[in-house]
Amino acid sequence: MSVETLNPPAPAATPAQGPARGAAVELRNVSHWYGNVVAVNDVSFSLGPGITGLLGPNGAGKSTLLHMLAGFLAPSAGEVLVDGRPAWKNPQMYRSLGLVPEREAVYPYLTGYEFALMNARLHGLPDPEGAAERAIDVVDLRAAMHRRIGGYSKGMRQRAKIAGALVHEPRILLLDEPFNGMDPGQRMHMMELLRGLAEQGKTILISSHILEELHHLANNVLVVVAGRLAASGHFREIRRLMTDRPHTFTLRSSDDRRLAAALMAHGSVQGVELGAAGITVRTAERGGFAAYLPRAAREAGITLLEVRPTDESLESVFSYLVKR
Amino acid sequence: MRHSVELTLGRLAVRQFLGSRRSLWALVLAAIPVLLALLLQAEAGGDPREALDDIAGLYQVLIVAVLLPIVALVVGTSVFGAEVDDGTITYVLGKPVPRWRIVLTRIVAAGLVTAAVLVPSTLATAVIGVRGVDAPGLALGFTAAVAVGSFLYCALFVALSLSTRRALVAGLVYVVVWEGLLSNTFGGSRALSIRQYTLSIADALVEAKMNTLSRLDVDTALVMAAVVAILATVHAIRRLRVFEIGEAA
Repeated sequence: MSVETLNPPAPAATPAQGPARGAAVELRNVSHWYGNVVAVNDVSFSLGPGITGLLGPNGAGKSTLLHMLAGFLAPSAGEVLVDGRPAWKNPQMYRSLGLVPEREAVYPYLTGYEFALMNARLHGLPDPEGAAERAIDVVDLRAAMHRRIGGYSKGMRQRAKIAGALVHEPRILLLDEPFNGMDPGQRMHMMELLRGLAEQGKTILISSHILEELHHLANNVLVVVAGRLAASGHFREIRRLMTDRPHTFTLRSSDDRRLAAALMAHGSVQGVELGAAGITVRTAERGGFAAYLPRAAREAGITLLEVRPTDESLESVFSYLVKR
Repeated sequence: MRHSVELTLGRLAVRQFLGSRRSLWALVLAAIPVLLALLLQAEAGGDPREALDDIAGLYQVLIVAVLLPIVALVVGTSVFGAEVDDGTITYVLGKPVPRWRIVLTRIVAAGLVTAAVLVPSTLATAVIGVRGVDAPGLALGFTAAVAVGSFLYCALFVALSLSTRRALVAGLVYVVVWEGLLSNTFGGSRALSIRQYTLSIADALVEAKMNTLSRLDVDTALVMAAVVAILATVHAIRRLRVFEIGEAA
């Protein structure tokens, strides 16, 4: 796969950055395999300031990619560079990089403040207490900072983890599935926090298996499927790719046969099959069909009893992207 | 302030251990020789020769051969093992700290915890055992040797825990098969046995005449102990430098 440089088209929040200059993170033809299982297959990209989403179904290799970026795994082939230097066997790079791992375990007997302080001390910061307090404030955890992490809610624990990763004010922040298990309120709060960090010019990479989580957050989205970079581009583009693809719907109505005939008339419909359980409709693109269906039913005086997309699983969306 | 990295790493390891159920078991084990010493003391009925034999037996067969390696194994494999298991190791390794500092701190922390469990127990056992018997240096000699043994075993078991996922089993095999069975059969394996180093050091420190504890002379023991400690530490550092944390971890 060719090297693609993904830089945001300079929206207000993100400082403009030339493509080749100052890529904080770069992968060159990186592969990783566990025994004879290929987890990451010849992936290349580079990231500059702003938020990038790393999207893919579970087991696609997102965590393996993040672990290589975080210097916890050696690439089996290729190069993983952070600030132009290899991430593997290079502990000094942690001065400019922070990782929020997916695993939830945090030392439960520490308080949020103690956890941030521990991170600050291990970074050898000159004023660890001050740095820990600042990080606690950034994630808005001051009210609970002296309570043990063991008693935190999922959202609070996630914020404590972020405070630990931010305590040394790294330029690069990696977050592995940060929204897992968060309620909508916590999610909103987290998104605000991350957007604020991006405005400061940090390079942020967020992995997720849900496209909509990255909405209003990541300008760039990298789609990873089965260890390969399947697509990359602006959030809107990726969403269009995912929604404007052939879809199959199962419908039940008060008069299936007449509805089938009416649907056949529409340009977006590629095929209609009449069965005992209802109608199966194949469409070229979802948007047009979704707008047409209720109109057609109303005009024909037919009541729609059920409309069900049959292949909405993420895996089918991703496998469509890969086949393209 | 200058050593706050070491203090932080060490405190984390100690807290991790104290917070686990392993620490309770270690304390239960440590109480056994003290209770046995009390029983034997009551039975010996004041015969100094018998009291010395009893205490030497307790020391050789129970404290050094069983308790010391088991407690060190439990502690030594947990200073990295617990964090590897729950994934919190990323918080320690994701720092700009040279790996040798992390390893040294963790070995010292494990050694201190092991010694903290066993030193009071050994001291109490010896003091009770030799009550009313003239045995200069015995309590102190036994205790000092156990303290040295704590660090030696911990260096070995920390290295083991970074080398294999089955460190507990590998450590048990070393203790039971190599140190237990083989060094009784083949004298040569004694030169590579931490148990023998510990006993030999105890021998050298205790002035009282006792049934010989070790068949390894103390100079050889000290040199070999240093070699083993250095090799284990260097190996642990090299392993940690290339320690991979995959998706499963």
